[in-house]
Amino acid sequence: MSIISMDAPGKEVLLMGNEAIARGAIEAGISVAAAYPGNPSSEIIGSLAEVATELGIYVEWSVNEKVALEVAAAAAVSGLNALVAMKQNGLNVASDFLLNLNLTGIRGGLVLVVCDDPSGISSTNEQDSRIYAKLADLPLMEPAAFQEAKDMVRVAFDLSRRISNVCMIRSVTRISHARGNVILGPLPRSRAVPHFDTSKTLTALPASVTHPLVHQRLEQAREFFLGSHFNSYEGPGHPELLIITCGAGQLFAQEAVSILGLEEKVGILKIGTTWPLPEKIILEHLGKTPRVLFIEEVDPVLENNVKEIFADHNLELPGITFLGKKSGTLPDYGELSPGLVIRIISELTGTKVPQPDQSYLDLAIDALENYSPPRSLAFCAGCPHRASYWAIKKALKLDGRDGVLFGDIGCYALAVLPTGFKQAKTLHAMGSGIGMACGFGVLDRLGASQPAIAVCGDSTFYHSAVPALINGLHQSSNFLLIVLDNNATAMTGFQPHPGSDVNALGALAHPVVIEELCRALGLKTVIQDPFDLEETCSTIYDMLQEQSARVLILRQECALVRGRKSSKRNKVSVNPDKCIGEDCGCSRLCTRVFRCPGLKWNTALSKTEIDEAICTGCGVCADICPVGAIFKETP
Amino acid sequence: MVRKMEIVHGLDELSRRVLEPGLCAACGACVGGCPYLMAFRGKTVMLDRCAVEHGRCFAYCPMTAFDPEEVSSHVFGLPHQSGGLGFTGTIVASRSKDLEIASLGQGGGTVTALMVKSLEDGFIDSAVLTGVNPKESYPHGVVALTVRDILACAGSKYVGAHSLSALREAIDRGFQRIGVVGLPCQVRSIRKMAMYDLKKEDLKKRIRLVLGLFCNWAFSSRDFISFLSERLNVNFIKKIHIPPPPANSLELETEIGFQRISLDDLRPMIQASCWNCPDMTSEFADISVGMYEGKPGWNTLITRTEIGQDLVRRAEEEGRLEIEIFPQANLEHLKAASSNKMKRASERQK
Amino acid sequence: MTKDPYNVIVTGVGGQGNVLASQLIGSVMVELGYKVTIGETYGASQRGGSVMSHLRISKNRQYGPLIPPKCADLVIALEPSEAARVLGQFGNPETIAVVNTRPVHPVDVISGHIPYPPIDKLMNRIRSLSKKCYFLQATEKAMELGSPILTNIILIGAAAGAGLLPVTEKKLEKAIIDYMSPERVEINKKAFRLGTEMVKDLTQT
Repeated sequence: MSIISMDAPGKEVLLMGNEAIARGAIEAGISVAAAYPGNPSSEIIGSLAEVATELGIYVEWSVNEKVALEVAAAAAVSGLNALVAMKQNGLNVASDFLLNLNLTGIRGGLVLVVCDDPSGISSTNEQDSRIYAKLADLPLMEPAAFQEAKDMVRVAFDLSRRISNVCMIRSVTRISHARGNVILGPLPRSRAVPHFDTSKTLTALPASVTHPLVHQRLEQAREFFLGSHFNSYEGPGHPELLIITCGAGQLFAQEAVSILGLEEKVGILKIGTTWPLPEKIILEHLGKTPRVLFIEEVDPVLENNVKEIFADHNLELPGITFLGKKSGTLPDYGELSPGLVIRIISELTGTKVPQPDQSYLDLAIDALENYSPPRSLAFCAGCPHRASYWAIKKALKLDGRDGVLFGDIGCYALAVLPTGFKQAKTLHAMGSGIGMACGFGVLDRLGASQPAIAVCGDSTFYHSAVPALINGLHQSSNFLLIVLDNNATAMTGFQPHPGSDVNALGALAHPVVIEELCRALGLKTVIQDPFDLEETCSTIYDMLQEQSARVLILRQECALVRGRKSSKRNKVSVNPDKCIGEDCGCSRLCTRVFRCPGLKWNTALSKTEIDEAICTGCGVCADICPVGAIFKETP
Repeated sequence: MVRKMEIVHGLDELSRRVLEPGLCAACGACVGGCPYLMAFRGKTVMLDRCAVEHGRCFAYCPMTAFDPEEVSSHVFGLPHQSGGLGFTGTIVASRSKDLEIASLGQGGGTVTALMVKSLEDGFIDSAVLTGVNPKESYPHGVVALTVRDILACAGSKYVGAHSLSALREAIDRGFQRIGVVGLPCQVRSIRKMAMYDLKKEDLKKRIRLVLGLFCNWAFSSRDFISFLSERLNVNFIKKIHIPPPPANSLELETEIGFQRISLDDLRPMIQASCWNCPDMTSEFADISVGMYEGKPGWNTLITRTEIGQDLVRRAEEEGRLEIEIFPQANLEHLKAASSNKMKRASERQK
Repeated sequence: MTKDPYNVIVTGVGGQGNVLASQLIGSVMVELGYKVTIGETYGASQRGGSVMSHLRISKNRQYGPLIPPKCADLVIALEPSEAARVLGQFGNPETIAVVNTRPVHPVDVISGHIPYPPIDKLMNRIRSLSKKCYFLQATEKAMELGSPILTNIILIGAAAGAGLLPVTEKKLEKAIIDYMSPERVEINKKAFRLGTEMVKDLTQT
């Protein structure tokens, strides 16, 4: 039983921002939802998938975000309400289609939720996706809290149907992954039957017709947003400082003003309909203050758009000092935090921040410097990627030609860190590892002597590796693609992918087998278990000596997936009499270099030990111990 | 420049001084018993960094630091004789009286005969030699425990074969009276092992007999094997021989006939480390054996220590070896050749 | 609970069940009529990183998902060095801490790159940054009950038993059914009860 499908209008529950969005879509009567997993957006379609069968809706984990948007669009042009969700990078992947769909419009309702990751906590980049709304001439709303997240989705579907175009919602980690109170609304009683009207064509051509049309639709949205309760003001009539904020910034700003006791001096204008902007309410408040501070996540989007309005009306308005990212008042990168917002407002208003006394602060600094060792990211105990990268590392050293490993996105992206022995030398976007490898693999014609390897995961393979693989084959590029197949989209929460035999609805699906696809393309494809270290290293070495595009699939189950189903593979223990630890001949190979969290170093005894609570029993450490001090027994 | 031996560093410094500049002699001292160094198809490969500050790899490597005075004092109890041949006891010509050994061995089969005798007498319980496994095709170290094992390793290989990894194996397997046959670089390494004995393995006592070979240079095994493989199946090779100047060639005795290769084609394959080495006659061994130029089927035999002299004397008394006088003219020629190698090395150091 | 908002941080290492613990507390509080906001970090944090859940509990308003610096009222720590990290950023002289004593070594400690602070000094530092603190060997007890993952529930029980959270066994049961499954109810109730008993046995430090 899931809270988001509960038929209990008026009930107050605790929902994650993403769940609130999902619930809003359900209340708005969606029929179809599609996505590719990506933090911080995955739970939107994830929670819809759990209740899909119960509610009679279709939910899909698509192969990538472009296809997900196309799937949702198919529903939306057939009269249905459809939802698509993605992280910032996903929007980049879907953007070509989006920038055509906006011109054709739709015949039902389509809401595109993009979840940005300020500071790139779970991403390779930091990006502000709101500019896509301006680029595509589509309306955009930003929820500032959880009830609003649900309400905005319902309003978005309403708006989308009215203007026959996509409506965007932008969330951030601090809303998507946070939880808060939400009051459930009523569930829809009926659902439309899909039908595509073939008497008319949907095409973005010619631009002379569709481009002005999308502007007209945006105008309709602007009118719709007039008087929206998603835009609101709290504070004095003529504040000495006006904060203009949106999204997560509102709650931070409210609390800062409260802590600093500035309710009589500082006003907060919160904008929920970020594009097109509600000019009237903005102009009204710009006219009543000498100083404006913009608080928003990532780029000065709201800041620049408000300044545009100010420029258009500058003759009617008094002089204003604008403060934000452009002025350097807020940093132009990184996420917002309460501490940052409090500090900035306190500096601007000359108000002191309440603090404990210096002696406490000194102890706090001591705690941070000396009592909280950093926790760098690491592969889980028993992760097959650790074994794979160990074999790759050794094979590259034996090969001796300074081979280049092009990395890709997934848990295995951690190969840029010591946990993956820093084997990956590049890390960009989905599928770019193999893209760059097939590019490097033709440079031998220009004198390059280094072999090229690309790694990609199973989910990434389906997402975007195939075109580059075809390119590499066709161009006779020399590279080795190593597919790290742990049969999971692990980093984002184990969603099914085209290699799985079940789909988002838990029904049987048709698995697309990676080696069959590769062999159908005519590529030499070898399959190997990475836990068989020697054989894997030997295979990688041999394949490095070959020419042309070739594929090695290192197939072994994800440790977390296995851990849920079965008991430990082996019982692993260390014989302390044999362990030589820091001495010459070992130098702590297992804990210092291999770095599995299932191992721990006993400083008092100068010996390695197994941490029973963490070890999963894969036994790879037993295979690498130079003195055979670690042994594994099958239970 | 003679580097003092007191300071022992670790793998980082070994890599900086020896591996990265390409000065590794492939003696094999460092690759046994270490997970960070591996002998792979003739090359010493460093797989990862090691945090040990004073490591055996650095201590035992003949190329990191070598002080002939210190080592001479340790081995002979005397200052280093720099007269061209190091400290010598007797210098004679020799050959094996056993015909099978004589035909399998290099020159007169002296090395093989001495190792067989030592093992049969129980003077040694194991012999560290260089052999070729048909499956491997690269020469490598072997721990020989029977006469058959020793005979299988007879004959010069002319490459750096990482043979001392087998010495590490013999030590780890617990052998207490180990005999080793090695090139001058390997002999130097063995003496450093006994002097430092970083892990207190009683190495001075346990490495009982060190038999050194004469060597002007050695090929990189990877380059040499690769070159030969293009011409024939290297498993067919029965013996390799480099006749004295002015022949300028290398001769192969194979299953499918006799082949001769010009040294001009092979010189680029000589290990870079060899140009820095001043030691032609394995000056720090118990016994040193080489070819006898001008007398095929015979060896030049130098004894240096009491152990060496005793062994040779007993071998002669028991009819294993035939001994003859080594003529003065040949001795002068040998000294000159040895001096040339020394000069070549010191020129290189500048 | 007199303070409004009441700011609670549940902290630990990825995989310890930190997120679930905060969800359970949050849903009980919503049932009691409070406005609750919980802020967390997911995803990459699972792979051995520090995890923090910030709970804002208020009768009046929905607060932001992150607690401002130095404003934590209660810290529930599944791991002691995480307690120090959280108190260092969010503690103040009135903060109360409920701390599981079993260290989880970061990979950098395991690999020998950095030391883990000596446990007695660590506990002293935690004491110095809090008004009161309760140290429990919750992991050991959880393993006796059958799984280390029960540590989080034991600590919630301890906080409840010390009067720091208005959570009862009955209210928790409903939350467990909602967020986990009916089969998990008994063992989790047992763990909760154990926590309430453990804290009563402790001499407050």
